[in-house]
Amino acid sequence: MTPVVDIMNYAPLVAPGLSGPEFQYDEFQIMVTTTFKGMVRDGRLTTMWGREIPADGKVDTDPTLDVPAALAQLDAAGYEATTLCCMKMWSHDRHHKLIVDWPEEVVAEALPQGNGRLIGGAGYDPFHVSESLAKVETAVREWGFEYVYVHPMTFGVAPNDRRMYPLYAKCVELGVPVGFQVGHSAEVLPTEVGRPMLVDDVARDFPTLKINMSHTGWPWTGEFLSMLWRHPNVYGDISAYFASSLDPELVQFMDRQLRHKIMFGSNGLDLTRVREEVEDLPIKDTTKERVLGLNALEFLGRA
Amino acid sequence: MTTLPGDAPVGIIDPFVVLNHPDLPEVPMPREALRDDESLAAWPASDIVGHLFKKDDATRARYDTSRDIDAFVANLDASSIARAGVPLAPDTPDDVFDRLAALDGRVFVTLRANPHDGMRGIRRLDELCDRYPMIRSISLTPFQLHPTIPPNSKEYYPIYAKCVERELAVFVNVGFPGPRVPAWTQDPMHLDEVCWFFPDLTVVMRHGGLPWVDVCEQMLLRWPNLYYATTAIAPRYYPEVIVRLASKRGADKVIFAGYWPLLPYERVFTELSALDIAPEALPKLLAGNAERAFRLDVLDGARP
Repeated sequence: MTPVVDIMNYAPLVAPGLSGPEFQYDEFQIMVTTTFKGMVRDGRLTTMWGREIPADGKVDTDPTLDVPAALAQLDAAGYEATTLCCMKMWSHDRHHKLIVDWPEEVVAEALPQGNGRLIGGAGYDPFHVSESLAKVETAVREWGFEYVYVHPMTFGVAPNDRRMYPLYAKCVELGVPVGFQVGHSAEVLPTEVGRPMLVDDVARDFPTLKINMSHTGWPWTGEFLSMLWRHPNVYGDISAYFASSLDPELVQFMDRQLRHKIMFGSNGLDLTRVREEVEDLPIKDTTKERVLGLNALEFLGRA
Repeated sequence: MTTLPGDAPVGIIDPFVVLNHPDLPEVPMPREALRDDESLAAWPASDIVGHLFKKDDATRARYDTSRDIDAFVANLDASSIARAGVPLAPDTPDDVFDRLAALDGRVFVTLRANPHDGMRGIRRLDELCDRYPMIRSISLTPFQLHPTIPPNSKEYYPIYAKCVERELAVFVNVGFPGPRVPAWTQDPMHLDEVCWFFPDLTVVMRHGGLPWVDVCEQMLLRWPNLYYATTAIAPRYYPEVIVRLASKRGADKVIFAGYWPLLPYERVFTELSALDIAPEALPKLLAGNAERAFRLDVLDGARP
């Protein structure tokens, strides 16, 4: 069996205290009453990385690293490697500032302790292009990051927006792939910019750039599958969903035309359960191997 | 009254002097952009705009001069031009770059870029700028693109980010173009958004901006890193607002350019001397603003 690779996890896996303060903002407060409802119990909330905080999110950031604990989690869940993405989220409707800004510096410190099992993913702020590109460049060239993950919809920015193009050019220059969320957003954020078909321009304008459309593209699964099928450089991941709830059309494509293109990711969900649910899918064993690890290794240029 | 160039208070810088060396690649309009028979018949020659310019013996002689690098430099000497900016295409042979680089900063380069070239264009830009620090700006001409796209389009944004990273100016053609192609992408208003989004980017408008000179004026007053170069217009036709700006409120924002070989320097300097420009603004117009906008201090010790 090919090792399991999680293409979609975040910096708080190695520093759980980075997560928490985002819950004080309206977007997250709305989400704990909707898509994240299950996180709250008796006025307390447990983040995806196991930090228990008051449900109002009034808590400080704590960048303390615990890499051995993260590696132990990977071992327990049977993962070989994972990305650590330094997400930046802008509050589009409510606060008009960054409400998540996980620092590349923390991940940079973690990487040397990871025995190659931790994959740095830099972030990008399309409202501050020059500063952001300088950070991406340092992260890749000096700190060994292998990926850039962006959350453009929190900025109200579409993947084919002019403010994203400098990043794509920089990624081609540095030889690293880029990923971003498509589909609806669990938070109340502008969702029209999540349409997978908007990636079409990017795939054509940057034919040598490897692109990961994260989170299945639901509710536009058809557009997501079309993009992966048509463009040699476009990949997609099923992170943020338990496999048992995936769109059946996606599962069918995953086992056939797109068995080389669809990747596995946890998005911080229960690591063991997300893996087991993929293993339980009614698809070929060879497909499971590809989806759970091999495709991500190819996408990242590790295989 | 100041009589130019003899009374020039500084060494004159002209950031847009055209070299027509025979080894240079032709930069024709894309044929697909042309529709009328006259333009199609003239293609690919630059004669597409022949109807706009005189073709007398003196003009032909200047063009002959512009074909030879030694004669070109001798003409700069004879015309009291201390430093000249030369537009070059990215597929210019190395030999021409090398010969210009050997002039020790006498000549700097504005490198033409086509935003439709995507990453191929960006890689070439990086490679040339690594080798030739005398490249001080990237030249963009929206009307020459097919399809034509305005300067706030996504295809340009990687070029702008690269210019900020490398501290290069962008030198953008604005105003109605000579060739008979659509003009709307040449509206300088498109640069307003670029100046806002890239506050560290230096933008120099060239070729007049007509009929949108008032837009140019307003933008020059509001964006600290935006400049206006007087290419393509003889001084006696400089828009009134530009002459006024160059003297007063915009004295730090207007850059003299002569448009040789199309216009003879004798005529340009005679007409320029007759303009009502404040004496204290003259050194800025003739050199200081260009030095700052194109960061010409880099040229000192610019040999590769």
